[in-house]
Amino acid sequence: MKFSYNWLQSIIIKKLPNPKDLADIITIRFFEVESVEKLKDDWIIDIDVLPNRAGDCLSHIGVAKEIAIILNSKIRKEALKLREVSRNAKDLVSVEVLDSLNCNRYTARVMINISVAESPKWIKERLESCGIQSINNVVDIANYVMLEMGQPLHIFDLDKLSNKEIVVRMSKAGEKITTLDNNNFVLNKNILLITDNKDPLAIAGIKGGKKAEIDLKTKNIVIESANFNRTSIRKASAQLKLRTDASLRFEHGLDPNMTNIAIDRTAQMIQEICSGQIAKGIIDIYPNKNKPKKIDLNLTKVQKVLGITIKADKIKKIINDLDLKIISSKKDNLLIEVPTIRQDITIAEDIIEEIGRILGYDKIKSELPSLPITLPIKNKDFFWKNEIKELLKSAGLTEVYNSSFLSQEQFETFKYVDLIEIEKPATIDQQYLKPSLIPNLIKNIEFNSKFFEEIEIFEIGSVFSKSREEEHFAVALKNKTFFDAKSILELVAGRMNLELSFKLTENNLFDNSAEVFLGSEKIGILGYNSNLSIFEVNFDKMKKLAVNKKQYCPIPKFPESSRDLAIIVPKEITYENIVNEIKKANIQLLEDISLFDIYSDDKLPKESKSMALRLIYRANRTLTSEEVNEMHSKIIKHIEKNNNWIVRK
Amino acid sequence: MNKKLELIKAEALREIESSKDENSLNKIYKKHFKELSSIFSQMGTLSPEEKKVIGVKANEIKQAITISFENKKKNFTKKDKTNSEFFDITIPGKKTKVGHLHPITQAINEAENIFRGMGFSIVEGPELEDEWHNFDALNFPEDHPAREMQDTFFVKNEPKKRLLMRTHTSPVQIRYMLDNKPPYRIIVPGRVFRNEATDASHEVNFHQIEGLMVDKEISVANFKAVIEEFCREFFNRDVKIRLRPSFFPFTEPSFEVDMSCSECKGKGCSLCSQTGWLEILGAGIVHPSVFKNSGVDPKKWQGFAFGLGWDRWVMLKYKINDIRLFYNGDLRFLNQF
Repeated sequence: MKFSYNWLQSIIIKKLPNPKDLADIITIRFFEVESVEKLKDDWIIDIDVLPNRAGDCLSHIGVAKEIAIILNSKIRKEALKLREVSRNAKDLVSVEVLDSLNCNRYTARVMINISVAESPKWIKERLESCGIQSINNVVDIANYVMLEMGQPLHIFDLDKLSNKEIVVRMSKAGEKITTLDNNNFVLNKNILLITDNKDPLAIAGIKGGKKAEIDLKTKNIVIESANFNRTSIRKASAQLKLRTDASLRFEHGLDPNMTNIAIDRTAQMIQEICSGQIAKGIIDIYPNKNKPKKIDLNLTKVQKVLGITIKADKIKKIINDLDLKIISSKKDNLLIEVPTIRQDITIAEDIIEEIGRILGYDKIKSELPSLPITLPIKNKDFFWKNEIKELLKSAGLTEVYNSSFLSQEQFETFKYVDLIEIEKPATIDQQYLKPSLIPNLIKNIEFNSKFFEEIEIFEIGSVFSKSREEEHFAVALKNKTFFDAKSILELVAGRMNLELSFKLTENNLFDNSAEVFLGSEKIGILGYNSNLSIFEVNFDKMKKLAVNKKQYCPIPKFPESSRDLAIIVPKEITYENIVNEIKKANIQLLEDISLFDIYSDDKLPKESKSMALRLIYRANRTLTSEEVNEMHSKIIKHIEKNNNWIVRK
Repeated sequence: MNKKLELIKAEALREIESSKDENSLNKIYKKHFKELSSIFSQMGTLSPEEKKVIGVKANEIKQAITISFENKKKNFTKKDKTNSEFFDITIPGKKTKVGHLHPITQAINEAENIFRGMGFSIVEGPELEDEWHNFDALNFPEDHPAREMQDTFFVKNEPKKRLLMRTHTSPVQIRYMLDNKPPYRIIVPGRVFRNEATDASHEVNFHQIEGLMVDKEISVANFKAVIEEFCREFFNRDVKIRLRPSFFPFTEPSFEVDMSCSECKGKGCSLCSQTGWLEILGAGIVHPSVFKNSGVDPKKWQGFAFGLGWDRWVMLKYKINDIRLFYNGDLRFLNQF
């Protein structure tokens, strides 16, 4: 809200510091100041009033009170001088509240024979400072009192009421109202209205209607100062997409005990400025009176929470300055009554906050806690996540973070099912949660292809499907092979001491793809497409079974002997098939098998390929070449038992 | 024979040392090697014991001469090279391929290390959360505006429990307190979500680090000290911090914490909108209702909680001006970290 420096000064007795310094004080002690700007002879301080203080501080008096406490000053209090005439307000208008759940209090006053005209300069200037346009003296006074005290008011032309009645009730479906700014609304049945028992006069707490508008001919008026239920106003305001200075205040909740003071202040100002007479009596419908709360405050606790030593007298002074009443005090305990205007104060901690901030948080000296040393608890999930990230980084991969959502385009391309859908996303690109890391990784590859020839990226993150959240791990490589991707996955599995297996499968995303298994459970997919190789696995399942084990294995004392083995086999024979055959020969001293070449060309028999393997033999002594040859021949014999397997010699 | 060996050794080493070029060096080496060979050939005449002693000795000398010869030879080749070939040391080293961790990951790990040093454990929680943990348990009133659609990604069609994408990491506080007995010292890094339009300083996905420290008497003064230590370590300089009053449903008292501007050191610049201060986190003393909702007795336990907008911290640390760079996978950006 915008505050006028001059207006604040007129309320506070002590001279204010210059506007910039005042803004600093406000920022440090109660609310953040958004801006300070000069406007003619005044300065406009835009203050971001905290939502829990909207009840008392969306007003110049509220903020002036706060400033006065900090400056060790007081605010001016003007006594109200109301001169009522003998005619009874009740004889001029009747008020009925049909919905007291949504209208906590309705106060009204009637004034007669007033003259509507332009506002005096000082009122115009103050309204302008606060960003409100001047209309005429009567309407301006209502706005002025709202900016001064925080209570929204509304004024009706009494002579325009059809029945000299005011009825507060819920709207009927289809009911229509034209507001003061000439907007037409067709209402649902849950909007609180002020009516004259025939037509709607105003949308309660939000905006006045055209029917009983004040104009230059207006003579007799009804002043409304009411308190409406915050939830009801907030819902109506959201539904009608209509936010006003009044609705903003009601939405946060106002003190119902303020309506009568505000209405008297308004009547007094109208009498002074627009002349006219105030009818006798105040019409006040207030079935459930709001009473002050009482709170126990322990002085030791104040010090314990803030971590500072404060004298009891100092605490008591702050409490008094805040207009909180100390009802009784027993040793360390105070019983405090909180005025109803401070609706934000409901528990002792709220008062502790008040003491802390009035005292100034800068007065609290930093002090590291003195606690026994305790070691942080190990977090296995976090450990593995970082361990694998570091491993991938050292293998040359770069980590990306992507959106958790599927864009509309990705949704159409990938045709996933069982997605979690968002109720009201800000844009269509956040309509679905992503069930896989792959779509965004592909997007990353496409984007970065403009700048890089080879790309190696990974992501570890949450994916979602039908109310389930899982952490996945995925790698995408550009201009690398299927086996480069597989090797990265095997590297990770090796670090976690997990054994993975792969099964050929069909997948419409990829030309070649394999399902990845951990034991008997499918945990992901590995795929290859022209120049793109990708895998994605369920990282939660891997972390669950991972073992962080490193054990020294004695370095062999005797040298290894190696023999190569080139085999021509039908093309559907896998590397695994060959290894299994070799193992069948049951050679104990065969230490390792590795593949170092694979090819097929015209010189080979049709539909076959050649695979070259290196076999390593080792014993607890130096093997002679004859011994190795003998073992190797055994293996060859075993292999040659298979039809169409030819060992090249 | 022993004497002869000693003689060969002394002479050979002296001559190798004083040789002038590679050619003469080779000649010297060959000459003495021949002498040694003749000794080996004469060894047949010796007794087995003598054979052993002389054999070992001869081998040692052979080795010594060879080492000396090799060293001298290296010297000559080195000199020759500098004379014959121009060695351009300004040619850049061959690029070693390295990967990169995301700057937010790196910064989370750094934060984790600093907090671990103060005894904090690291805890994580789900991103898809229920309304109770995200709002109710944290003392958000039923009709709090933050629950409205404009801020929160609510999930469609979940009749049993209303589910949403967590709007902060605070629900993990609740989960942790329900599962563990006090005292607590945890930090919770993680991804959070706000249903709003994106620009250079707003993203729908972003990160927070939540902190919770609860013991018998953890105070505002303790909070100030812990957060000062953290800022100093993380930004690697002597920072000033200040507390301003604020409002959060789950803490009371609540404050915003400002840090002296990293750019202008408090003098006022465009980064801090001329105030000299940067808003870096929200914090407060845990509200008694939050303790009650988490099964902790507020009469016995007391402490602080805080939430760091982690993207902003990382942006400040590395002078990054657009939050969207974190989430678009641009390698021209990521390769810088």
